[in-house]
Amino acid sequence: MRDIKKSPINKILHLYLDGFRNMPRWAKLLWLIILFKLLFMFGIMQPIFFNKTLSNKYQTNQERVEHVISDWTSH
Amino acid sequence: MFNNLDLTLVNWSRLQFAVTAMYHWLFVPLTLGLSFIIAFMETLYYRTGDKKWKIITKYWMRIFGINFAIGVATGLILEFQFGTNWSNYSWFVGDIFGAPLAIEGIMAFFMESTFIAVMFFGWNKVSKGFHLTSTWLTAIGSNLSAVWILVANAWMQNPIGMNFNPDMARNEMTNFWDIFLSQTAVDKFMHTTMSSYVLASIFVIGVSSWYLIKKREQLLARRSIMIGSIFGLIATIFTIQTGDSSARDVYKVQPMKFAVMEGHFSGSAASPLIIMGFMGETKTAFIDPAIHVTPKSPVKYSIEVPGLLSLMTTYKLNSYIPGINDYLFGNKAHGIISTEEKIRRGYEAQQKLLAYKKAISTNSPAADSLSTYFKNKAWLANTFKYFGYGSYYHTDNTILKANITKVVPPIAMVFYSFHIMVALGLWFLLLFLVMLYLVFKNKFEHQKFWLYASLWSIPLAYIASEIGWIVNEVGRQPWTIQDLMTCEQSVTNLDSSSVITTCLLFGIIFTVLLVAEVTIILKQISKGTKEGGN
Repeated sequence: MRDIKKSPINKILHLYLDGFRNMPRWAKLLWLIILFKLLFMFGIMQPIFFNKTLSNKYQTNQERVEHVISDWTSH
Repeated sequence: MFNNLDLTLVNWSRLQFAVTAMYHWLFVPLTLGLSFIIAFMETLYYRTGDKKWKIITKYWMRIFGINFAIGVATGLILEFQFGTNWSNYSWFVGDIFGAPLAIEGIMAFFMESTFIAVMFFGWNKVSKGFHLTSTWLTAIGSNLSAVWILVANAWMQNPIGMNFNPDMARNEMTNFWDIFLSQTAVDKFMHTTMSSYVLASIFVIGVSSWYLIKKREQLLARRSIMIGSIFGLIATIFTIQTGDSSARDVYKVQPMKFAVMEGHFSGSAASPLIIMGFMGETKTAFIDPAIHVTPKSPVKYSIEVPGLLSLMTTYKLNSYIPGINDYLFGNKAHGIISTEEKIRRGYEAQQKLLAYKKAISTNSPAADSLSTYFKNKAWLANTFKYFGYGSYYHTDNTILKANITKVVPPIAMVFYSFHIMVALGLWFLLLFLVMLYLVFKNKFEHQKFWLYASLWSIPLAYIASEIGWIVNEVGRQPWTIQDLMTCEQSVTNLDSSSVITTCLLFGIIFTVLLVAEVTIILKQISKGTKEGGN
């Protein structure tokens, strides 16, 4: 029977799990800060403030082209 | 400058991008440089078997990890801004940006993330050789990630290797290698990475000097100063060389930026190089060279070296180097087109595009003949090339002539940033030479001045690194894409309050987080190796 414990995937998983488990307190705090930043970026900033792009403002490429040319040739 | 700050959408959008980019750039150089320093140290551990090298390597790896973690997510907001605040620009650049940024993301995710995990978690779990390989691949991966965004930025400064598609109003890459290997891209990548290595070396030497001042971690400090000084010295030499090469490229592709950063208002043969000076009132310095032969330079108390600007720029002592006024008013004798002429040509290009779009929408037979302009190399090189200038056109000649100064970037900011950056680079060269001498002679006992100088050079390295980007990005104003698209044309027509809100929100939250994160890094530095570094 194949020894599951020694499979490459298992070894990789063990590396990560063991690593995270044995991180010192300050490293865990840093990870919390990283998670907070990612939540802030993707959970607040992007959906609320950075959600208006040409892709969702206009339905067709034709409309997007007209918009860009209009701004690009304005004085 | 701040008294005249115009609180418009464009300027708030500019400010937001500048602040978020500079925030991101606080962390990237140390990641790029320290990753290699750690790789060198671990290689020495691997080759010698000396466990003290392992302790030193793990210490700097800890600092690297903290800096890396602090930097995570700081680049994301820049990506958000491309799509939302600068949507016209994002559309216009087409696949020139899309492909490099996609590769950057993929590379960063797979290469760095994978091997960073082995680097931190793999001690005593994987073989020494595999661990060392992972450390090197982390260093190489993070540096290669930087290639792509720098190539994209280089294209903004020198747009080549593409065709403009008038139907889609965007650029299409025609030659990847023209873009990837342009002189601008090569100089930019080399100069940015080399200067990052300088910063990392200064950081290592500065922290090590602090330990020596405190008479702690003496072995770690001396060995780190040795590695940092050697690496830093080589990196500084290459930073100077690539900076010099980059300036010559800027002279060719962004001549106004070059004239501004050198404080060169009036063109002349055997042009002098300004080592330093004080920039006075510049508005009155814009004088048509055809009217006055030698107007007074607004640079006061300047220290100049006669002929050196000509020599460094063209390798010919007596060559004519045009100044700001030549580019504004033109100089027929030296084949320089005036800004007014560029504005007229840019306007003509804009009218052709508008006429073409109208002909398409009305199914006019004129569409075919108009479309040939966008395939005509001569027209593209002599008229379309100045498309962005067309936005300064006005039917009233007086207003048009007054508009020419809008293509001049903020002179004082660019001039001072450039000169301070160069001065700091030369200081770092001296510092590395001295510290290398002291570490090999083991002569730190009575060298408090140099130890404190190293420590206080850490903030100077960050200043030099940031103001380099000010030269690059403020120097290219008003352009987002040189000569083709201005900032005003690039920006999305959002509500200013939205931009102001995100600017303040980002500023407050990330500053609070920065304080927390820097506290963590300072605490770890003060703890030292814990296992003893003497």
